[in-house]
This record gives sequence, structure tokens and C-alpha cells, in this order.
Amino acid sequence: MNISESFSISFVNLKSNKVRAFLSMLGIIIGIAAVIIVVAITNGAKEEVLQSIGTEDSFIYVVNAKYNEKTNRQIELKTDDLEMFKGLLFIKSVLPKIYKTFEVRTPKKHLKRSIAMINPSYLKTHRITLLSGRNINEFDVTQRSRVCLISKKLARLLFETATPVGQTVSLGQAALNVVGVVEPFSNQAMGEALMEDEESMDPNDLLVPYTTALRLESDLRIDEISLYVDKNYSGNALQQIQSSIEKNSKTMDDFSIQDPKEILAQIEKQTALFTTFLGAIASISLLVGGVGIMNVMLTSVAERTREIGIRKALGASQKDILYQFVIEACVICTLGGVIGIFLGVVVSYLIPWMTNHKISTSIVGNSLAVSFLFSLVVGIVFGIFPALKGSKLSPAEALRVE
Amino acid sequence: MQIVRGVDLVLEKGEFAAIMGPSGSGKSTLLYMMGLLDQPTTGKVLSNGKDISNLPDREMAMFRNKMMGFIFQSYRLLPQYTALDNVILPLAYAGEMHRKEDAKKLLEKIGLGKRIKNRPSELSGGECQRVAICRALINRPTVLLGDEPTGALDTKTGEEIMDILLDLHRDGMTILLVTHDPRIAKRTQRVLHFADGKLQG
Repeated sequence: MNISESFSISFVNLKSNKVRAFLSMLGIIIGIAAVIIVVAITNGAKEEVLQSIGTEDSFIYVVNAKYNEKTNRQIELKTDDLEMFKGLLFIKSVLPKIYKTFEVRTPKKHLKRSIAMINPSYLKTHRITLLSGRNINEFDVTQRSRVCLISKKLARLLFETATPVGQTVSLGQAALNVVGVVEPFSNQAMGEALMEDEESMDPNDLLVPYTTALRLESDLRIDEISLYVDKNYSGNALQQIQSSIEKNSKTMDDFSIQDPKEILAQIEKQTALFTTFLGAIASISLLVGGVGIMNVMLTSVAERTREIGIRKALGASQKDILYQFVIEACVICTLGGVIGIFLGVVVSYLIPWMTNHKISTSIVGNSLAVSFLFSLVVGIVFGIFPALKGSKLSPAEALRVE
Repeated sequence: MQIVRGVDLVLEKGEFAAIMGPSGSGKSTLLYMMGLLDQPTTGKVLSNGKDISNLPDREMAMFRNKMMGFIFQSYRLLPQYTALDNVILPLAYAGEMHRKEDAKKLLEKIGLGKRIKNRPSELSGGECQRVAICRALINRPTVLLGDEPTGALDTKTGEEIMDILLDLHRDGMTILLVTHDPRIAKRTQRVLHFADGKLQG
């Protein structure tokens, strides 16, 4: 008897008892799906933080105003403060950020949105795709052109069309000409699911040249300054930024600088801890799944004693019976593994959508491969004991069972 | 516990014999030991003068597969398989799946050509036993062993099964049946009476 026949035997047996086969898979399915989902959530959280502290080619150092304990007051970041960092060559871009929301109006719609203050390279560094129209250019920045880019999502909300290039949108007191339509990276994966999300506060829905944006209101307060530092820069960026601030006759007591490398190290540490923790939980859940399989296989050996007797009478050796039950356990586990992976991937995709993007997920390829292998190992390990028991039955005794 | 003792039984090639006796007399155990389904505590099973009762598992399995054909009172078909697949099963264990067509031919010859795709639950008792006979014959065994093969069937169907067995015997098959039905035993060549684990001569 060869392997392919052993496989066809186990498929026939599983098919003849679908409900039991499914129930025995359930432990494995839930275990694997849970592992994939939790890993995806952890990884999603990690990537979200990583995105906020860096882009593909740069780390983002964030400069904030801080409460000065010596003078008992807090300064406000001003437009001039942007100039302090222009002399540092390792800084690719200096961009201001404001948290406040603006009144956004079109003849058809009226809503509140936060905005992103950008320069021409912003789209590329933040992985935003230009769908139609043009990006902003250096001229727009130096001339403070009254232009803006909007996301496809916002375009649909404001203009009820995906191609609003050339139309005008009112932002506070100013009227801005829409020159391009974009799709932020985070929305691409989600497709159209969030179309009607009027409450979204994603600043990447409305992008304005930062020079233009700073003139939207008089005396606009900047909340923070993002410094895009070249990832390849090997020097001590933090120190140089600090000394540049002090060179401009300011004191570091007024500023705080968030060091992305420090955050990165912290994330790595936390993720490693979490992964170990998860690994333990995953092992336990899969162990429980495996015991479930063993239980089912043992019951099936007892129930199928007669079948074992018949097969032995027809010429099955101990080895043939052993293989049959091990392969059956493996098929159950592999099938359970595949269903579990499918379920895990689907739920991982649904979670951001169901939680309104409050939880983001990112599936880790390794978690799929590892859990699949694990389910196969569980199948072999927990299949062998019942199989041994079944294969050792004497044919005469097995046949006497009615 | 001793079930069978002091039995010396020789089955000649081409013989059609029946062992008769009350239930619990040990006649089935004797048959099972001869078919290598049960191991004697002491004593031997010889085939062509060679001791086959102490072979390794694999060889014993091959002996059952190639040399013995079994038919049982309750047919012992696998319920999840079709009639055809039940007959094919011994071929799978023999590694001779290329002979699948032979299984079909056997079923056609025995009059079940239109029932090969049916499962045992969809067949009558007589039909099931005929499938079981095909399964027993597929690997062209030297001996056919029957444990009350007509015991679960009505008289007419039982006679039909006996007709098939007699046909096989005419073609040279060696057959040994266990039965407690004198009408069945009467149709064989040689009847052995068995009681309390002993042959009564």
C-alpha cells in the first residue's frame, strides 16, 4: 500500500464523518486564527508607530515647545523657528504641524478637517499616490500659491466626484484651488470601505503647501516641527539639532525633541517581549487543539475497531493501520491549519474596518508559515499515540466487536 | 482460557469442508487461527508443510492478503465505501491497484454489475454477501474461509450463496465453512463436528 492510497483512505474516512472531522479541527482552527490575528494587531501597532517616527528614507525628529521650569512660562513655536534648522545639511525637510481643525467648505458641503502642511517631497516620503492632477512644486511653496491636494475620499464627500481638479475649496478665509487628487497609503488597503466616513481626522485628506497654510490665519500657532533626518546620516543628529537651537540664542529649556531612535529601540524591546508572550499563548492553544485531535482520534480508534479488524483480515499490516491513522490526523490538522490561516487573514483585514481604523493590522508572513508547520507537527505528534493503539489490535478481537 | 485444544485438522487442496457445532464451541476460533486472524497459544498452523503461525506481522498480513479469502456472517463491508471500492481494498494492500478492472468484472460476473456504485447500506443482505465474496476472491486466494456466511440470510438467499460457493469449489477452490445449519453442511463434501473445543471425529 503506498502513500497516495493511504491519503485517499483518510479522505474517504473524513468525508464519511464530516461533522466529527470539523469539530476536531475546531481547536486548531481557532488556535491558528487567534495567533495570526494577534500577531497582525501587534505588528499593525508597531508599523503605525514606525510610520509616525519615520519614512522610508528618513527619521522624523519632532520638536515641541515645552514648559520652561526656570522662567515658568511656555513659548509658542513661530514661523521663524522653522528657519533654525535650514542650515543642517542632514535634514531633508522641515515641516510644521498644527492640530487644529479648519472649516472646509464647498457649495455642497461644509465640514471640519485637520490639514497636513506639506512640501513637494511629502507625497513620496509618506507613500501617498497622486491619482490625478499634479503635485505641488517648489514654486507653490515659495510663492505661497493658493492650491491644495485632496484625497479621493474627501473629494467624493466635498464635490461628489472623484475628479475635482480645478474646483475651489474654501479653507477658513482662503479659497484654495484643487490641483491634485491623492490616495493616502492607509486608505489604499481599505479600498472604498471608508467612503462615508465624515468624522475622519486623517490630516492626509487635505494637503496644503506649508507656506500657504501658515498664512491661513494671522498669528497661527505651530504645534510641532517635524525634522526629516536622512536615515543614512551617521552623526549624532539629536546633538546637532540641540546646538543649532542654542546657536540661535534660544535655550533648550524651551524645547523638547523626540528622538525616533530611542522610540525605535523601545518598540523593538516591547515587540520582542510581546512576541515571546504570544508564542507561549499560541503554544498552549495549539496544544489544546492537539489534545482535541488526539481525543477524537482515540474515540475513532475505539469506534472503528471493527474497521481495523476488517482491514487486517484483508491484508493490512500494523504499519498500514498506523499510517492510516497518522495521515488522517495530519490531514485533519493541515485542513484545520489552512482554514485557520484563511480565517485569521480575513479577520485581520476586517478588524481595522470594524473598529473604524482605531486598530490597524498588518499580517506577518512568518506567522502564517510557522502556524501551518506547527499544525502539521501537532497532527503527527497527537496522531501517533491513537494510531499505535489501533494498529496493535489483534484482528480476531477487533472483528468480534459488534 | 482454553477455547480450542487438541485439534488436528488437515484441509486438502480443492476440498469443500464444513465445521459444525453449537455456538460457543470454539469453531470460529479454530477458523480464525487457521486464517491467521488469531494466534494459537501453543500449536502450529501449517501451509504446504511450512509453519505460518509465527511469522512477522508484515508477512502474516501478506499471507492473509494473498492466500486467504474471508467471508463473515455480517459481511464486514466498510460502510463508507461503495461495493466496488470494498472489492478493490485488498488490491490496495497488495499494491496491485492496476487490477481495478478485475474487481468490476468479478462484480459483474456475480450479478452486481449495476450495483457497483452503491454503498452497503443500499444493498440487500444477499447482495452484501456477494460483494464480500468478490472481495475475498479478488487476490485469487488458495483458501476461502467462511464464518457462518449464510447465518444472517433467509433460507432462499442462503441457498443462493451456497450455489456460488459450490460453483467456486467446482472451479477448484478450497473452502472451509463454519456453520450450525445442517442443511448448509449437508451440501459440502466433508462435515467436521465440533464441541467443547474438540473435534468429535
